[in-house]
Amino acid sequence: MKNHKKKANFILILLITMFIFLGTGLQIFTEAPSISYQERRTLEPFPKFTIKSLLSTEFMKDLEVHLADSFPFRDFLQRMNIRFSSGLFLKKDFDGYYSAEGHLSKMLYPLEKDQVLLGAEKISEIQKRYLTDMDVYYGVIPDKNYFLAENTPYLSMNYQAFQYILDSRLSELVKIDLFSALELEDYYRTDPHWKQESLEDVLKILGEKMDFKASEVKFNTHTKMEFYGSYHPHVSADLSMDSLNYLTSDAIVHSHVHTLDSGKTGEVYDSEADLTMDPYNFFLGGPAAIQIIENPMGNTEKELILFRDSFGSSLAPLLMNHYDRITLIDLRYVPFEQLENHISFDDQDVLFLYSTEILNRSAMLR
Amino acid sequence: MVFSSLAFLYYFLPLTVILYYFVPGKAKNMVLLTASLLFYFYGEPVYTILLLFSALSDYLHGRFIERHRGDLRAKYGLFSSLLINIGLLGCFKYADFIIKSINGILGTDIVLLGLSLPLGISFFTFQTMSYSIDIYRGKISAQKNFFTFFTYVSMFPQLIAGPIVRYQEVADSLRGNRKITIDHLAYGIKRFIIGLSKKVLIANQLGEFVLVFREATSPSILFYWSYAFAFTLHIYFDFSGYSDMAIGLGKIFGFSFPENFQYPLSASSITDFWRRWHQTLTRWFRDYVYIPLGGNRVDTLRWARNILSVWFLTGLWHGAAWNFVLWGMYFGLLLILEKHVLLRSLSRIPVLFQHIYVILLVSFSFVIFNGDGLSGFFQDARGLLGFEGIPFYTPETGYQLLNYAGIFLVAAIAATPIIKQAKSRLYEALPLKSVKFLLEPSAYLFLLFTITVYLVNQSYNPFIYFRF
Repeated sequence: MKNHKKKANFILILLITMFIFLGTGLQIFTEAPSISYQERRTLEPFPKFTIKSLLSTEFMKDLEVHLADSFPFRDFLQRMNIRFSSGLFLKKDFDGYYSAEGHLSKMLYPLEKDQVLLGAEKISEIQKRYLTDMDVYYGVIPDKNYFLAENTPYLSMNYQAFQYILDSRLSELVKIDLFSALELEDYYRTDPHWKQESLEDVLKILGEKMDFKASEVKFNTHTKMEFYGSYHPHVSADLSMDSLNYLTSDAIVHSHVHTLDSGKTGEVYDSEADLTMDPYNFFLGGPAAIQIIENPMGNTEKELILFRDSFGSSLAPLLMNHYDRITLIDLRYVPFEQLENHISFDDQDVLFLYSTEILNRSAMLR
Repeated sequence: MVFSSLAFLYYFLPLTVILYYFVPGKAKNMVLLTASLLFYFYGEPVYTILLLFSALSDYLHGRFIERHRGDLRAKYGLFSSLLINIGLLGCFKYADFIIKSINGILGTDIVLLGLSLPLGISFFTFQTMSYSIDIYRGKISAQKNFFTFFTYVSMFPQLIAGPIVRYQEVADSLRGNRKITIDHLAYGIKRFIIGLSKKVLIANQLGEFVLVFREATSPSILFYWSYAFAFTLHIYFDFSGYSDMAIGLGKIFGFSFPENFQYPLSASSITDFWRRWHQTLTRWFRDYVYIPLGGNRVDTLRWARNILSVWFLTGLWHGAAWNFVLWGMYFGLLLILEKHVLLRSLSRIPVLFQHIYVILLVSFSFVIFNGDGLSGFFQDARGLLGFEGIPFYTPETGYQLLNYAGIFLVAAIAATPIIKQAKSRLYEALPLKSVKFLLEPSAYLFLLFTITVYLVNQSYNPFIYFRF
């Protein structure tokens, strides 16, 4: 008995020592990636050493982050973490991310009333400053949690209260109700965004309010790639990949997009964009402060100014049949006071189109 | 540096162990001292000087007290040593609390010192005070070698959050009498991994629940009680996990540190609870405060005074705020009540109800403990008792309880001796010897792997007892 215990102890020491030294050795002798495509972020490099950073313990804090970021098999360990959380500890969500009804989603909870008010006030301020006597519309894109929370135990914000705040503060704008035009299947399974090919009802309702006939346009559908969306690394679920489809029409094919931030002009669907980090960058090349899509062959003589978040990138091309020029403004990247330096506000149609997720964190709108 | 970090687990510890094992006997203390100072410096660069000052002061006082033991100068020496230690605590830990209290009572506007609390100051000052007192009492001899003494004061396994180790418990090992066998080393590794599991796999997740509760938008009475239980389990696994790691590391380096926890949440009375919770602190106050005050060999009134004095100080030791004082007095009163009334009644009720009694009172105590000052505690207490005008249940409560049900269950089981008992039964029942001696190492390897998985992805990791 004693002998067996000794053997067991010896094996234990050996296994634990080997495991630790393997971890240390692999971390030291293998080159860590600088970017995590799974998490869609750059990883913490080895911190710069200074006496000041040492004495303030900043160096140590950054070192801890670096060691975690550059640990061998980090992506695998992250997947394991999610599996252990759900398998061993029966966690329902992982930092708010969850899987339900064949979709990955994130709890948008609670309703941040102050933030929604802030967003409404910002829109109202822009309207008063630049958009008087113009046709101004607003629509809100529900997040996936809106559709899932009703039939699942997951928490969701009070969407009625959310809409009430906007309705009462934006009474001078024309409301376009997108909640009724969308359903869960209009969104990617593994990503928060809507699918461009599923926006038929959205276009229809926009057309009814903004006076264009969406049903007259026929689009061709193409598939760019298969991908896992941004929710995928956060949740343990065996889901197949989403298809990144895109729609074309003559107006879209003839249009080009000019990005003021970079000075770059290109096609509406940007094949050169870095899609490894975020495949949604395919639409208009990804996030930008101000972009202008123009159709030189267009003859509608109508222009649109679209205040938007990332959802707008996939919608805007579909509106090119009804507008010759669309100016897209993302207030997360440009303060509204600077808009007059880049845009002349005349008689364009104006649409504020934001997702619930952004409006519930409106402090990010500048 | 914290034990539950990749820097410690994959760099600091293996490097220290290699050096420690490969240098000859006499140099081992030097390796341990250097490693300990690096360990402290990593978390608290500036206050490393303070640690040195504290050690030097008590080393010199110890020598002085010993040289003059038996005459008045030894008393002066002891007084001076205690004054400096209490002075350090007073300056760095209690000054702002005292100033705030004076400002609050007298309406004055004395400026706060705003000093940050040096890591582990309450632990290392209590260790060095016990050293000086024990020399004065003639229980131990003063250490002649400063570096050996400094190794005792700064020993990294227990420097920051205990257990509070008395010099006599490690004096022999410090002199070089350290026997490290395969069994000792394996025990140390196992104990360390168990402690790390308690911290990383259980305490941190319970800590997340506490944060979730604090950020809840629709609280309920049930949520408040869940918070009380969660925080009780959280602080138990956090602190006992740290003690396990310290004891395990001690064994790896050839030291035997005293036990600090013995399934306190399985206690059958509050008196029993305090025999099992933070044993080294309770022992410290018993030997250096309670007994010198007369202990229980005095009349009832003086005994009650002694108890309340000890618990006033115990509360204050945990934090410089009135809710900690209230927490200490709460236990002082409960212990008095138990001694005179409740213990007899308790012994007559079923064991299950004894446990429920302890869990309820202890959980309530930790609501006092974790309150944001007295006003924060009163708000929490109103929530617990249903005076906040909140419902008994909200969907948010239901969801979060469901979300953390697994961790609650694991924590509740792990807080009792059930796993330990089940493990020995399983080990006995296993038919194959080969399975027996592979099962345990594999289980610990799996735990270490799981810990690494959580450390790579960790977001919540503070040790509660670091703030004391």
